[in-house]
Amino acid sequence: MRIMVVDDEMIVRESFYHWFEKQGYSVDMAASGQEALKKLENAAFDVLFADIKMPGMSGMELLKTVRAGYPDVAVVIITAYGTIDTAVEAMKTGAVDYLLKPFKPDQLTLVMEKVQQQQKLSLHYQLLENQLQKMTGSGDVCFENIIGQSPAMEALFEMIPEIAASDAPVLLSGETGTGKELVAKAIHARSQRSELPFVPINCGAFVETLLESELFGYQKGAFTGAAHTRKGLLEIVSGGTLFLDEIGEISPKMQVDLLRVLEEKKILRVGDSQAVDVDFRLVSATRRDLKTAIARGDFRSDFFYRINVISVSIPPLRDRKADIPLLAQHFLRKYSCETTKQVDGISPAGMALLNQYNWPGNVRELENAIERAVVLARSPILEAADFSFIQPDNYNNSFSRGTLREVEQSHIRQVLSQCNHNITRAAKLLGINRSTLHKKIKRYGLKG
Amino acid sequence: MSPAVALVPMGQVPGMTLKVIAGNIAGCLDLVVDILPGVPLHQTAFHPSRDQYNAAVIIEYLESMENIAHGKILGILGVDLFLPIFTHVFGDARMGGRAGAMSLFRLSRRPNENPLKISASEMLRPENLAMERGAKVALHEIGHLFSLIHCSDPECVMHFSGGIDHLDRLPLYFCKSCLRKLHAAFSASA
Ligand SMILES: Nc1ncnc2c1ncn2[C@@H]1O[C@H](COP(=O)(O)OP(=O)(O)O)[C@@H](O)[C@H]1O
Ligand SMILES: [Zn+2]
Ligand SMILES: [Zn+2]
Repeated sequence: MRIMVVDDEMIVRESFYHWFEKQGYSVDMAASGQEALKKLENAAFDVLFADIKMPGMSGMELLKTVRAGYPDVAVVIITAYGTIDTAVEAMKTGAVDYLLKPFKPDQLTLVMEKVQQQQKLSLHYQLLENQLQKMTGSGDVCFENIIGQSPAMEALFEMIPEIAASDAPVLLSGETGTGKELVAKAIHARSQRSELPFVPINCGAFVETLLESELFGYQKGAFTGAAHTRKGLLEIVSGGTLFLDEIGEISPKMQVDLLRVLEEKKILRVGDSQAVDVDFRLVSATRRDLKTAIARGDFRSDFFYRINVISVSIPPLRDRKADIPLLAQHFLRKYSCETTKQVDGISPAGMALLNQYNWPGNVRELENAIERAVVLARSPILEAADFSFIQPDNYNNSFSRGTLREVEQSHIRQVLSQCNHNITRAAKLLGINRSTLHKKIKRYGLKG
Repeated sequence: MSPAVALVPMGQVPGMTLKVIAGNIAGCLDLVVDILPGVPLHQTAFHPSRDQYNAAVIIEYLESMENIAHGKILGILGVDLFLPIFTHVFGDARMGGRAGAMSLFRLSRRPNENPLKISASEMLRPENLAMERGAKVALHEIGHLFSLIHCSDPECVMHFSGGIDHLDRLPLYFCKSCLRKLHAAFSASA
């Protein structure tokens, strides 16, 4: 344990020095914030004891600078009577603890215990962090941006290169948010077509006629509004990978049309009679069980067998809980960088909560939960309380009653107030763009 | 310099307590311990608004005393000691230093006045209890003078104790590992 004592009073520095020396710690001293920063540049310290009142750079400024530049260094603030308010502020800024001078000798022992406790925690995070760093190189827990260490994910990592090597159609099945699109991209990235476009389309998002013109394109004048000839995605993909998400949503007619394309490798633009050659690798995804749909007569079995040459199923997150800590850490890093908020870990209790929850929205929900917690976080470690919004009870309370409109209104209001009415942030959390949010705020008469 | 220890009473200090402390150091560590004639309290160390004496100033004064041949000096006071950052200290000594200081001021209190909860060591008559505590503090500070750091073993007098209850839980001896280090330090300074 390497300690630095920063105080402009020599007798205070020396008192600390001699005490820490007797504890067996190695101690350095600095008479000012500037001197402390210089020493920090040249040597690693674990803990900094800093007087809050110093001429020149104050302890508060030093604390802020150290938190920003050396997040691993724990800072303990030393105060005297009359500067308690600043001590409170210091705690909010990320000081581990504060000492009110003069203090009982055993208080210093308690503070050191607290510091050690925190370091153990952050060591735990570093382990996780290391694991994350490892993944880029060795492909251990990460494969083409897909993170996981559960047996199911490891098997997937092994399968993807083989799948990518063949050119056969792939059907990915799994609940929403399990990472189907990510897997589709990985297959594309590892395939011979990786230099060519990856073209995703969510079939569930279009009515039949629109989906048809999206996919096949149209000839000028084919219908009212078709002022120009437009290429469809099947042409645009030109040798790349076409990702048909929510394929279970397409109409029987569209199934026939696509089946023909797969067999003939030719398409007809809407309103055109001239066939165009197309070339692509098909990856489809579904969250519905297509066999049941076939049994019900909603889905053509010949089309199913054509798109399901290689079948990959991605288990829901609740069935591969080993991935949760890794994913949580990954998203934490992502969003603390994005929001420039200093959030560097999740407490064991917080992690336990994430592990317990059953994540009906899978990885997407976990990602949203971490983002939300980071945005709202008040301390550098996310606690269980920071995730109170994912507790099922909480869900039931706020979502149990009301029309869709009422629920939307109250949800928007809640998110707005959590984001301090920052529209950009609220829109991001709600998954809509800012102008849509503005419209909704106006419609519901909410305070923007 | 021989590794002998000089005890220097400063101000009013009961003679019996000095003897008990001397006896324990000599017995535990097999060192020559002499009780030197008392000296008046060093008033420069007095801090009027705290109504206490600064242990660091007392130690400096002891180190500056001439005509002491002993390798280590321990000043023993009846008044309350403090350090700039601490409300009080039972004693203080620098690592490997020549002089240390200790106070008997806080050692005669009973931590627990409930007779049903009185521990074996508290059964001692108050003055005996204070003497036993004094001997622990003295051994501890002597340990520091011979460069011992605080010991993680709670069954060792070098374990740090912040309060009187904690002090009562410490034994009147060093653990094996601390004792080994002490003997190494003795032969180095002999
Ligand atoms: N294993 C994973 N590692 C990292 N991020 C993931 C993983 N699985 C899903 N995600 C992320 O979760 C979100 C939802 O994933 P997505 O592929 O769109 O799911 P689906 O297509 O199954 O609904 C995306 O932001 C994606 O990056
Ligand atoms: Zn000590
Ligand atoms: Zn010991």
